[in-house]
Amino acid sequence: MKRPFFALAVLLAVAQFASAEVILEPRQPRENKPFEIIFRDVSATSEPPRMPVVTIAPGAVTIEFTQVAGNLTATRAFGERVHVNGLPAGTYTLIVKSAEEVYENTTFTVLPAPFSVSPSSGTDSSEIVIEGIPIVDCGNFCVPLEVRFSSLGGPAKLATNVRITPEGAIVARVPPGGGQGTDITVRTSDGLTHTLPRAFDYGPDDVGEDREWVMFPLNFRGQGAHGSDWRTDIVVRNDGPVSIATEPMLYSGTVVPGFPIFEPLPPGAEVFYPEEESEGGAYLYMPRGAGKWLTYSSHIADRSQSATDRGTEIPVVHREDTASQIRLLNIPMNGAFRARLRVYDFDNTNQRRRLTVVVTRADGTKVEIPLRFSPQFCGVTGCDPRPPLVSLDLSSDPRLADAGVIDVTVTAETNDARIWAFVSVSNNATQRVTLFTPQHKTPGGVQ
Amino acid sequence: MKKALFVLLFALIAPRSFGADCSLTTFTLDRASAYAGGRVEAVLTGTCSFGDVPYEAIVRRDGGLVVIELQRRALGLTWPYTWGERVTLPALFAGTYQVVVRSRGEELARETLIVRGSASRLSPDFGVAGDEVAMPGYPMPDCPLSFPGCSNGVYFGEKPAEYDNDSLDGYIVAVVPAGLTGVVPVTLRGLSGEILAEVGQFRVGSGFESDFERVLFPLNFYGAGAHGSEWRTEIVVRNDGPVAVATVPPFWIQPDSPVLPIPYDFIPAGGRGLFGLRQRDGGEFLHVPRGLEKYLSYASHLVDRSRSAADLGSEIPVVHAEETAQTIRLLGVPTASNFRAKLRVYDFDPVNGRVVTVTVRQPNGNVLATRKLTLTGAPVCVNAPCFAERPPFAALDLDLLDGVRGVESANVTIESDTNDGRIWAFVSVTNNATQNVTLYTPQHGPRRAGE
Repeated sequence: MKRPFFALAVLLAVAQFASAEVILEPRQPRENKPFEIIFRDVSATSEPPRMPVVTIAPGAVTIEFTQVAGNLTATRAFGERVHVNGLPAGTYTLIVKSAEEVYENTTFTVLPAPFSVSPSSGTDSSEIVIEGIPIVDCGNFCVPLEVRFSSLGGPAKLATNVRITPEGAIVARVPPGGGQGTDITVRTSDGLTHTLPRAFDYGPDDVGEDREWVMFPLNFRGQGAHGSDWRTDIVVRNDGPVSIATEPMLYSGTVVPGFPIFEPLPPGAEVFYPEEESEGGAYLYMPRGAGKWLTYSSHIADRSQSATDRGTEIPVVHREDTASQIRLLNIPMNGAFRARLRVYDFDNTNQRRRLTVVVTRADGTKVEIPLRFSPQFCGVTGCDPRPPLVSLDLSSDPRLADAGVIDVTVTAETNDARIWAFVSVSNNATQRVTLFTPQHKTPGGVQ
Repeated sequence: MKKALFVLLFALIAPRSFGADCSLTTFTLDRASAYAGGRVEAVLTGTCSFGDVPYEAIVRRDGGLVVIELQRRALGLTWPYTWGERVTLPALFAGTYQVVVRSRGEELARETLIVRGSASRLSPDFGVAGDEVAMPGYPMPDCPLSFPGCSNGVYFGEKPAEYDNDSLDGYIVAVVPAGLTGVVPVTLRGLSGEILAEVGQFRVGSGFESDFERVLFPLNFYGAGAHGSEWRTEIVVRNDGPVAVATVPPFWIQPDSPVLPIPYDFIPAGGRGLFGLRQRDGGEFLHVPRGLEKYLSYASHLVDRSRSAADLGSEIPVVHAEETAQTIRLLGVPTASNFRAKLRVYDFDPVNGRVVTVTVRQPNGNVLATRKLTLTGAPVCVNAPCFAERPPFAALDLDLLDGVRGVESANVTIESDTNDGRIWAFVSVTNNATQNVTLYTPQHGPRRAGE
């Protein structure tokens, strides 16, 4: 969606037209479900609008920015990601303003959500879980429980293998032959019907709209210094009631003679995520709504010392853990240790985001280091599926040699970015690794 | 901002029976400040002497009513039992609502909820004279010399406040003037005293519990351990915001000062400090005024000082409400004989006596052991407001459980026995010889009700 947008420098009384993006994520918000409104634009001055305040009224969502004085000689990219916890169903006018000037005026719709469907995309014969419909006591006047899929222009199709879990959810197998935006109607045993419009998308997802993902910051294996044998043990478990079609598919134990089968992760399956012999981390994608059923464990360990040391836990990164600014505190700079900063872009969009790393030394002085994600490598089989990563050896920077205990702040150029970062500090002799990961609240976690 | 009043959304009710066999004993809304599109949770607890358990409530909005309808279902529990539910209210526009709890059409409890149009632009939106308050910047006019008696500035009610309009940071920072009571409007005024902008409503007085967010430090321990180990938890807190943050408890600023560190009532803007340590297990809460916690950064590590030349220790996560859940799942925990594996479980809400079920399984799902733990230790409050110093807590040595010891790897599930629980847990695996510690913390997605 492209809309005209003005960036305004109030104090300098200068307005400059620019072209902005306004994106809803997910594209189709649902009643009472969280979503985000993302802006991207170019500010007319060196100081872009900031501190959005959201006001919600029937039929209108207003986002008001604060605009401060800036330098007219420099424009800069500007982005914001505004989190909305939920809205009643209906049509809304989205107004974006700064001071009393209106820059953006568009509309969007929030669809009703009488129940939820997870996952909200998949293929023929995959299974879905329907939650939020009371399981009624229909006495002697029961009708069979039914789940129907209705695609635009086509006949309604009955789901098969419909059953109720001990927790009161409905599980159903997706009937063949539907399309994008299929409605789902449930008829409960008392004869009442409940419809969720545009509940399910058939087919593989090409655009990322129908999937969610997590990021494994490390999935490395290889030889290190002093005979160390590094392995990253990442375990993924499906605790949900239905199979989950992950990307990449994982090996869960099914073999035809001689060949392991990579397949959707069945309920109760526990598998290892594959390691790589180069640094860079990995994504694991899953249909939207299925992420809540996956559990993880992730540790990097020197196998040569596994009798005495089980290694270091590496956080599994969810979108709620990301932010446009990451702050890492109290990192000791010591000649006996090597400290490395790794910064990741949670969104694999190959935008080559610019970053600023500010290292605050123990004496309060600051060292500023500009960084940028490298261009993504693309070959004949497609582009590198791994997260954009920039890595910085803090120990080799002479400005930090006598810095004492440092704080590191990593800031993306625009506030719509979702980055994550950590510092690993390894002892040169023992190879023991200590992590410094973000412990502050991130915007996605704000309720 | 036209509507900015709010009421305290907290209720302890007289036990109310329903269905002849159950009672509702508490009905609590989780925050004092609700805003349109924001998130409000209702927590309900009670007991049943007989019959089906109340479970997952159906919530609907019906004009000015928000109805929480308790469903009931047979779950095979032994009577009598305690039940609990945590319910996210539907998104609401600004206005006044009655939040009603019902069971099979019978009304059990009711509370009034006032919702305003937007989140407060004041951080924080309560405090006493002398406190600093941040608000979004505004192009305030300077008072020219040729304009005697000009009245521009930040006003709390009719009282002008000292302020700093630091336009480069984008904030106005004002100091709450003396002599105010109750709730007052905060306005920005022009040269003739005309109102340029209504910023919000400010409540004069110290905060209620629900005006604060809790942050949990799972370990803040120091003491001697096995094989000459000397354990210390190093917790650093830094304030990156534009205003001082008055936390509970206050803690030490300038820890490297040659003079003894002094506990201050607040962390100044740009300040940092060390959180206090205890010679006991079980962690501690830090209470931060709502709206200011986003400015705080943390580092938290457990270190064996006797080996700090070779090992900087293990990072201990700092836990926010969003990281808690009713069920915590920890995968791949080693319980080999040369390691000791200790499970620690925390109640993020200071509810003494919550029972959790710990189940240890093999990766194929076979159950190795099951234990009930009761989380205890939250101090009893005499005076309000009650800021719990530490969370209810329990620990369990997994490697000492029959059927678990010596198993290469086990999965541990910790589940609150009632649906209102917000718990957090982790396992520390420590080598008996080297004292190297490896953590197993929750890596599943945070609890996001409604998603």
